[in-house]
Amino acid sequence: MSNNTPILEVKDLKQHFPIEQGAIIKRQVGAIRAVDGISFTVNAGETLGIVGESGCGKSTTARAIAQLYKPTSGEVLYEGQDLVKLSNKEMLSIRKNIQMIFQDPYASLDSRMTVRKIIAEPLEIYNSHGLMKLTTEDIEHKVEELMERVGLSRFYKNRYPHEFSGGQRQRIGIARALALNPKIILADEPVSALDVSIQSQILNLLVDLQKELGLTYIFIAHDLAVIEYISTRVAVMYLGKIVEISESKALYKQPLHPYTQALLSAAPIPDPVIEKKRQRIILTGDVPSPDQERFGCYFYDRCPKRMDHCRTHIPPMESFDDNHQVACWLHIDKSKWPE
Amino acid sequence: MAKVKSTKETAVNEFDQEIKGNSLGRDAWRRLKKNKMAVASIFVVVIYAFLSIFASVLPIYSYKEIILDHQHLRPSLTKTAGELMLEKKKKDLYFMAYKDGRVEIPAEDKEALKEMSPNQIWAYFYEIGEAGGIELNTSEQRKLDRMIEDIETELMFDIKKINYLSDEGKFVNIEKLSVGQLTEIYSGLIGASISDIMVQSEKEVTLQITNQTKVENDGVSDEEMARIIANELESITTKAKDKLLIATLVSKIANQVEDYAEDDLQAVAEEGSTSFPLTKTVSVNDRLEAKVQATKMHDRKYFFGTDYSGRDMLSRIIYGGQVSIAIGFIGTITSVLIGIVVGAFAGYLGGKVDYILMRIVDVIYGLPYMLLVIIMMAIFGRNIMNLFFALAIVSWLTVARMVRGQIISLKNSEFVEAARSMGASPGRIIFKHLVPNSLSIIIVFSTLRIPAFIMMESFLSFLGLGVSAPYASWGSLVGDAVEGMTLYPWRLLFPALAMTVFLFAMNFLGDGLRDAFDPQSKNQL
Repeated sequence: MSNNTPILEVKDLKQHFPIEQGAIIKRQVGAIRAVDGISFTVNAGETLGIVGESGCGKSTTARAIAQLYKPTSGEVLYEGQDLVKLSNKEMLSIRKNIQMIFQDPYASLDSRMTVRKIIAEPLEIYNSHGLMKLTTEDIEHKVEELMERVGLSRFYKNRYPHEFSGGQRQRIGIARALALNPKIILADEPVSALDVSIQSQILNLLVDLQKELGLTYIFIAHDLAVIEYISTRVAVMYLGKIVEISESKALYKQPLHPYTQALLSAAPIPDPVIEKKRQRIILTGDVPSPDQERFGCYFYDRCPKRMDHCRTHIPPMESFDDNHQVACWLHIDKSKWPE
Repeated sequence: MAKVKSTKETAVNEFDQEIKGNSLGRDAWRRLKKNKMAVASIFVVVIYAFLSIFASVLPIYSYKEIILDHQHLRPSLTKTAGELMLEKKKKDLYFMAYKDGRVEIPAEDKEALKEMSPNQIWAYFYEIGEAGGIELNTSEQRKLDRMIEDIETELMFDIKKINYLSDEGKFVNIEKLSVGQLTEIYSGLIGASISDIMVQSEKEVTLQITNQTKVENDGVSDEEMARIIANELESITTKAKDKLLIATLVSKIANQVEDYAEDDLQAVAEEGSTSFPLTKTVSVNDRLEAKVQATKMHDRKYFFGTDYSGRDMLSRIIYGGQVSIAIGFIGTITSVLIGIVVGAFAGYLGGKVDYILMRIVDVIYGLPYMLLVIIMMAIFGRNIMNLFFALAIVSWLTVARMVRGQIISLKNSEFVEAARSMGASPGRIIFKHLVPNSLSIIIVFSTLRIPAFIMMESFLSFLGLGVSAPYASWGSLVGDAVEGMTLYPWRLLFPALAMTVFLFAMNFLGDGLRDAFDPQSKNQL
């Protein structure tokens, strides 16, 4: 399904949130380095899964790509166009290609609007800016079509979000994201707030939609099983950095980075016999605060295989094989180490 | 083309029918309906609103019509003004008789009299007098008889319309005639020369403008006043002046017509055979005729009594309510609108904008607001619009703070991010998402704000800074009534009662709305 034409390219993206002090004259005393220089490409039609523990910058990455935050530095290239440098007006014409699905189906829908209004809102915004020319009837028709596409009866369109279950609400969120016929969907933990049985329904819906509409997903989750199921490629993030990025199967079969290994070993196995034999790699310490600049490997503090060299040198992203890249000195030939 | 399926499509089964959503607003309404106090309050408010809106078409007497004979009549459901006047006169005469020593009363009553209030004393002598215990002398008796006769015969004229037979042979309302024509008619009526009348009317109009200007520019020095008046007289357009001239002449003609009607109808009244009210067309001369309604002046009934100028308290309370409620609503709406806009932008944009706007709010908050209103009223003059303006300008602060807080708590929620991710502008996010989501607390706040406004207005009017006569508000009525509180308690009681009931209703309604909009509230029904 996926081909090798990159639709989205992220280059050295940094998203720092300033810490300010002072009442009238604000001065910056530091920064939270939520995303600290990440690069990856997404090919058309594929699903890039992003995993990592809480606070590692997954959601920030998605929001920075969608330009909800203005990135501190770096480039986000959509079909070769740098979104960071675009004006609001130019951005609007591209926005319709990049839409988001949110984590909390309760908070992401305006409780004062009917389903019809929620799904029609993006269409109305584009209509009002003259970027689409739809009549009220067209919008009505489109809303009904979208509702049926995501598995909701069109007869529910006059209902309010609080009258739906979590799964149904997430379907409304998906319908809204599809309204503008986007090419890329940034799904920010779309299933983590749902019941396990509902999770699979939503995942299947997303897979079906991808097949029908040829969508590209950037799928954020912290559930490794979900990522394994849906992703063609997986990026593992730690403390605002991507530590490993690979074809999904290869990553699960042979994790290279010590953090990925620890992360995968933490997932319980449903078979109790095998589960007993599971060897967990238990990391010591907590995730350090992202408010200071680092000059060595970001994982140095907790790495079970750390070396002196790691403390002072940031490991570059190195290709291990064709579709597998890792940022770890262990996988770089010592002869190539800088002094 | 695929047409949108009609919403009235017949349902095939339970999964295939149009389902009407239940909005949070309707949910709140359902909860509010269960709150008996709130529902009763809604009724009260609706009745008040009805009375205020339709005050001008209600069958009540004019609120500014002064009948000096009807001064300070007590409220009565059954007795006419004439009967009450007589009663009052008799009380007065009986008491005078006692003062002159013509009445013998038991010694213990004499002691008791010292403890009584004036009203009780009057009632005491009235009782004795009506039982025949007090002999009135002839001059007193004559006074009474004359009064009874007056009550029987005195008429009031209401001139509905004056028509003039134009040269084309049609009757036209004289208000539509030109200055020249009116002057001609008037000169015909009183026999004075046209030029004299012109000069006289011009003078009167000039005086009117001068007085008006004096009232509007209170407190400037004499030279300044002279300059302003001269300026005003100079700048007035011919059209505006003509309008004033026409009004003056029409009222003069109406006075003449009234005299004619009086001559015509007084005899009828004295004869006593016709029933009143009587509507009649009076022909003044062959070209001028008027439709006049004559009523017996002392047949009126004052359910709520009258005030010091013989004005009907009932209609004054209704018209006063009109002013008070209008100030409550308009003031609240203005302050809420300003508050929403300022609060929403401060909250949503944050940063420097927020900082500057909120510091402005803080500074105005720091000023004693009543003093501010009083100063503004003193500077801009006392009229109702200035009162609205002054109250609104100091009362948007709380709304702005409240809305800002609400917006800040909402602006990072995912539905706002969702709106931004599809390209919604800040204006759209604020007014389509954030404000509707904070509307419930705004509604509750506004409802509780209306009584506060009415109280503020009443306070100002009570101090004599608010509404001035002939207009009334509840506050000014209470303020006027305080002087004669013991003698004429109804003047204080009724407006105070009307105001209290309304304020209670608004407060209960506000409480009810708060509970209805807050499903987590503890006093959930």
